[in-house]
Order: sequence, then C-alpha cells, then structure tokens
Amino acid sequence: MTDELVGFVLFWGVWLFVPMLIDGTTAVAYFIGGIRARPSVRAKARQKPLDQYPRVSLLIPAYNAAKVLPYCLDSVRKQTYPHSQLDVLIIDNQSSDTTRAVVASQQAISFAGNLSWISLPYKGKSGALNAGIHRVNGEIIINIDADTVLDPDAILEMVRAFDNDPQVAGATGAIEVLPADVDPMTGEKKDVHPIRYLIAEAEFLEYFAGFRIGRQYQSETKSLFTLAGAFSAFRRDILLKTFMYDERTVSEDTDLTFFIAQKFPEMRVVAVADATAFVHPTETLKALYAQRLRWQRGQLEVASQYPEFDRHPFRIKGLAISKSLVIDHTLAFPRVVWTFLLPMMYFVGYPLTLVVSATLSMYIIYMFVESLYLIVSYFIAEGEAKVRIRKHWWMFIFMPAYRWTIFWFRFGGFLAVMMEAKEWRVSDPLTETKMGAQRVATLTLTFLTQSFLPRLAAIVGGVLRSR
Amino acid sequence: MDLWLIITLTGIWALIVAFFRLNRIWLPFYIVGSVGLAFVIIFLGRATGLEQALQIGVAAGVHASSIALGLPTEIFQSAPGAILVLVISQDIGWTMLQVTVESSGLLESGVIAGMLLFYPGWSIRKRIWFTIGAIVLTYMSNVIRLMVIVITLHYMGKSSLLISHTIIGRAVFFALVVGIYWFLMTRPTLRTVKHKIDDELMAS
Repeated sequence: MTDELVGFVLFWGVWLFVPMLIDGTTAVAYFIGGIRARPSVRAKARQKPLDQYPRVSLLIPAYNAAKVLPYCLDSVRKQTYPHSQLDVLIIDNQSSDTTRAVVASQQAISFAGNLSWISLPYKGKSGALNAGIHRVNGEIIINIDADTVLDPDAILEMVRAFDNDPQVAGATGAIEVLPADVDPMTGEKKDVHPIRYLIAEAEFLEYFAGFRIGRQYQSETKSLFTLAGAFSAFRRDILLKTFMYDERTVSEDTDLTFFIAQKFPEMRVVAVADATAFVHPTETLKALYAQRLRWQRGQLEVASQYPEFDRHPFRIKGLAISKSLVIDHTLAFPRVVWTFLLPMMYFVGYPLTLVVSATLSMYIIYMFVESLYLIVSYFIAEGEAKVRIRKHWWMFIFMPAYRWTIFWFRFGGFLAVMMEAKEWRVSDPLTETKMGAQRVATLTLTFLTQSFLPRLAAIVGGVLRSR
Repeated sequence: MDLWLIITLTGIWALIVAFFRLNRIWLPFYIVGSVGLAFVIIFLGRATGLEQALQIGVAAGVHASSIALGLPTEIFQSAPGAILVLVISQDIGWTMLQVTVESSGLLESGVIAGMLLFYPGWSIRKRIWFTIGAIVLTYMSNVIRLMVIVITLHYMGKSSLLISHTIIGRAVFFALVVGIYWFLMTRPTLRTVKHKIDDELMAS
C-alpha cells in the first residue's frame, strides 16, 4: 500500500505535489535567509549610528481617514528619527468626512517637523502620491497609508537602508498585521468571530514570513518586485526620473519597481526587516478576495509590460518574471483541474482508500511545510511578534487551508485580467452567483407572465372557441 | 452508466456553465467548465476505446523511435495481461513495459483540453488550435518519457527500472508538460494582457 500510495501521489498528485515541493524549497531557502536575518545580526546593524540624517518627506494620502489618521500621525510623532528632519504632507483626495478638520486639529499638536496638507480635486491614491511627490523636497520620500501605524524606529531603519547602500533606490518596510481581537486605537480587547480571528492570525503569519524572510531573500538576490503600498520609500532624485505611479495597471507600485529595475539596472530595491508598519487585518473574506484578485491581476499586468525580464526561471539573481509566473500562473491551471480530478480517480479504477490516503498525505506534507515557516518565523521574531507566534503555534494545522483559499482568490485574478476592464468592480463569486440567479429568475418570470402565459392563454382560448 | 443519465448530467453541466458565462462569473465558470470537460473526455475516452487507441499509438511511437535510435524493441498485440508490450533486448534478458492508464496520455489530454477550451479571453479558433497542438505535444512528451525509460533500461539494465520509471521518466514528462503549459498558456496570456493594456491606453 505504501509503494502504491507514493506512486499515486508522485504520478497523479504531481500537480498538487510540485507546488508543495516548491513551497517546501522556499521554506528551506527562507530558513537560510532567516539565519542571516536573525535578531542578533539585526541588533548589531541597528547599533551603528547613521552617517547623516537626510531630510525625509512623508506622504500620507487620506481619503475619508478622519477616524484613523490621528493614530497614524501619533505614531509619526513617536518616531526616533530627528523630527526637525521630517516633512509630513497629508494629501486629501476628495474626502467627504471630517478629514480636513482632523488634520487641522493635528497641526495644533506640538511637533518639531513640518505637518502640512493639500487638497486635490480628484480621487485615487496614485494621483495623490504623484501630486505629493512634486510638492515635497526631502531626499528620501516615504509613502504610508493613513490607516497604518509606524513602529517608533520605522523611519530611522528605513533611512539606514538608504544610508548604508548608495545603490538602494527604493525600499519596502515590513508589514505586520494587527490582531483582530484588539482595538488598535485603544488597545482594548473586543469580541470577534472565531473565523475572523483565525484569518487575521493567518494573515499575520503570512505577512510575517513574507516580509521578514521572503522579501529579504529577494533583496539579496535582487529579485524583489513588490513594495508594500502601506509603507515604502524612494530616493527622490530617482523617483523624479520615473513615470512615478502610473495607472496603466492595477499594481502601480510593482510597475514602478520594475521600471526602476529597467531604467537603473545598477540600483537596487530592498526590503527592510526592521522598518515595521502595522496594518489592520482584512475585515471580510469578500475584501480579502478582492485584494488578492487585484494583486494577482497586477502581477500579470506588470509582467506583460516588461518582456525583457522574461528570463529563464532558474536564474537566481535579478528579476525574472518567468520564475514567479511558472509557479503562480503556469502551474495554477493544472492545479485547479487536478484538485477536482484527483478525488475522481476512484472512477478510473484506483481504490477509494488510496485516493483518500493520498489526499490526506498531501495535506499532512503541507502542514509540515507550514510548520517550517512557523519555526523560521519564531526564530527571527522579536518582542510581541515572538509571543504571538508562540501562542499560535497550532496555526500550522489551519495554514494549508488558508493558503489554499488564497490560491483560489488569486486564481480569479488570472481570469478577470483576460475578461474585464481595469475599472471593473470586484465582487465575490458567491454574491455574483446570487445576483445572477436573481436575474435569471426575473427574466424567467417576465417571460412567463408577459410572453409565454398570454400566448398559451390565447392558444387555449382559440381551441376552446373553435370547439 | 446509463446513457440517459450521462446525457442528463452533461445537459445540467452545460446549463451551469452557460449560467456562469452569461453572468460573467469567471472563477466558477472556469472550474466547472474545464473540470467538467476533462471528466467528459476521460469517461468517453475509456468507454469508447479511445484510451486503447492512445495506448497503441504511444507504444507504436516508442517502438518507431527506438528502432530509429537503433534500440531493439518489439510490440506484441496478444501478450497476456498486457495490451501492448515493448521488449528491450539486453545482454542479461528483456523487460516488458506495459502502456497503461498512467502512460496513455488520456488524462493529461483531457486536462489540457479542459484548461484551454474554457480559457476566457481568446477566440474559439485560437483555443481549438492550441488544444490540438497541446494534445499532439502531450503525446510526444509521453513518447519521450517512455523513450527515457527504454534508453535507461537499455544501457543500465533491469535494476534501473524503478528509478527510471518512477523518478526520471515522470520528472522528464512533468518538465515537458510544464513547458507546454508555459508556451501555450502563460506566454500567450502575457501577450494578450499587453495588447489589452495598450488598447486601453490608446482608447483613453
């Protein structure tokens, strides 16, 4: 039975098994990256004083951000970076709430840096950032979302990355997802649905491994192509030589990263593990679906614009679209079909016990891969994050199911990019199906009442009259 | 399975696919469409003798290729327990390879046909041509996989059967099929997306 099981998994399960092997290999690569990024090494780097403290401009696009903006600005005032070197520009793009009043009240609070705002006559984050870039003159430009809370050392560590290496053109901070059961503003505990709690913790682990290890590995190999929209930084002189945030794709920051790699091949874009920003967990599964679909769509759209990066997938250094697309796109399609086909192998003549055992075995292997990620994350984590990972050690059981769900969400992006315009409003398949069913019911009812039944009545009436 | 039951199930499947397509609900449309078509092809293939024809075709392809390479093989139509048997002469004896469901290529062909024919955004004509190309290439990959086993057996002997069949042959086949998917799906998709973005930019 064991030989048969291995043979079955190797042969028919290969489409599900290989992505798993790639994940496993990534986990091992992450482990090696994790050793480089271990707390003692990072602490040593943090002790070094900066050669200089350049002027930093902080851009915060704010759309209906009255509730969250005070916490974001409070975290800015708590920065260890010299406040006199900080310019903060809030870009209000057509808010309909009290954002402006909040900014005014925040300006009254003592702050050694500059805190100013502009109001734009149009909506959209990209436009807001582009307008802001032209208004500020800091050597380093940092973008943060209005609902993001910065760690006190975040700006200092971000600037350190630029100070340490003149080849660094852009950098992404490390994003950490806040717990769902704690109010980030007041710090008080609140009741949340267990599923929401689980998803928030899964997001936390996903982001933690992604930003603290995965992107570190990509930084080392000069293959980083996604910056965090919530917290990223650029050298101003480089940024002004680009098209800045171009809206031709749904992933403007990835587009900008590729553009920098294309136009300034000698420069680098890096991930800064110690520049931490905290974001809220995604509120609903629907929002998570829309977010991941947009990311996946953006990846394909940006990849299509830079054919020169379509290099062979085994290349280790440098951007290679094929490397990520073979895993994310090429292997996704057979994985989709085989997910449903594998259980049906019973009808092709394989014993049911074998099919069930194979499916379970694959889930167990995935749990093993997830436990590797957890161990590495725990190894490199510090402070509250370490406590949180230890407290949720059992998440390795749930993580394969979470990643599987995310896989489906992202897959939707491949189909949407082929069929829908960029402005298309994302709705989840469940809501769409309900709406579709309602449309069909309405059409059927209209047909029955306005066409079929009157005609039937006329025919029956005619027959009766003729008798 | 009862014929009417198959027809009814196929009809229900077609209605569901049409519902998702008309309402532009792409994720369930693609899953139900591609997986359903793969099922239909596999079941019909097994019921109609297509699978057997594929097995014969693969064996004939391997036989012809090995002859061309100067490797002695034979095909037996009536070998006990086997549909077709390739015999590889060696100094120490011979080995029988049986082309079964795993190496006929029927399942892989069903999967790629489902994947391509329901891929949204391309014309029907393009999808049909790509599907035909994919099936031919899958067949060739299958022959290459078996040739790898034949060559390994020929030069390294019977003891290499397990590793050549379980690991090397499958790895070669997998790599080739991933290549097919890359060149028939991912690469053309990038081109389609690029044209779409360029068109949108032109229009704006």
